[in-house]
Amino acid sequence: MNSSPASRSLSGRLSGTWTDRLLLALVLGGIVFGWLHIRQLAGGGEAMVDIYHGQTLLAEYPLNGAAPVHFAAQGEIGISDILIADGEVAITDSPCTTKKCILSGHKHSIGDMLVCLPNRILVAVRGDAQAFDAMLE
Amino acid sequence: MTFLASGDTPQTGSPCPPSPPRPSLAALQGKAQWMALLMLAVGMHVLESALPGLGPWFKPGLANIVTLVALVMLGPGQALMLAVARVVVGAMFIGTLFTPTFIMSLSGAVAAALVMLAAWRLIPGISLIGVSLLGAVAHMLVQFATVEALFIQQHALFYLLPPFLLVAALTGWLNGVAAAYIVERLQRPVEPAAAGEAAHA
Repeated sequence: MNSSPASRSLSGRLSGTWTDRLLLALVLGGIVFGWLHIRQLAGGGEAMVDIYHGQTLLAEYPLNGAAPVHFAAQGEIGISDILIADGEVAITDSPCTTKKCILSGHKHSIGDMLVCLPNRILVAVRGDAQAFDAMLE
Repeated sequence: MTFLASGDTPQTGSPCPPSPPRPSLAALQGKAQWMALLMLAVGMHVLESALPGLGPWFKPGLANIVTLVALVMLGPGQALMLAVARVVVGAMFIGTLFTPTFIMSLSGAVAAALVMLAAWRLIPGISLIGVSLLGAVAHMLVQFATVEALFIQQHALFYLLPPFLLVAALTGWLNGVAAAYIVERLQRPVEPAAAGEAAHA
């Protein structure tokens, strides 16, 4: 069998050493543990939309309100337009250059977030359970 | 220093001032390699910024492959300098210098480079794949910590962390595989037949 580096198969290249695999297992274990922990914190109940500028809570609305909500959030570099309608929230306009916050699309699940970093705007969908409120504090 | 006008004849017999010592060929070669890797890393950095992202802060970290190659080929110090220079020069090209995006990139790149250097030196049996994995995870963690500390002071931000870390671990592993393959190819001695073809080309 030719065991030169050139003849190594793709699976051999992808597998790494035992140390690498151990590190991967530790990382994945940490991620799964963290994910489960955060899901517990997120809680359930009615989905609420919190809109922040930095540390300041600008507004909170129910995600599934009867009427659409159009909120203009004053941020660091201008106004971000946020639309809550049909059980979804989205940033529809933003003064940032990359527009990644707009491209992030519509969010509808508890734990989803929209972030406009240049404008320092955070839109978070949370459950109205106590656990997530404690996390936000 | 004096310059001779055309027609002047140089005076002979006077002692010439000592010229500064020339850098060695090996030193010049090392600088050339570093510059070549920097240009490659900047190109990847700019390319990544043009790719559609999976989220506001997610990038596949292709430029980190170059840092890994520099770590093996040029050493830890050069790799760290390369990571910092790549972010600064790349930000100049993209137009994000000193913006929040730049601060996030710089903090993430420095953290990733430091973790990778430490892992490469301290963890026995680790390969470039494990080094890249740890670098990607450190990059993501420090980016979130930077955003939470400087820009959006909400702990709820960390709710986004697990899925981002999962994708970072995956891309970090794949980038490590790519880096290991590249380093293996670069360190392989040039075969005579290939060298002959290159000479004729």
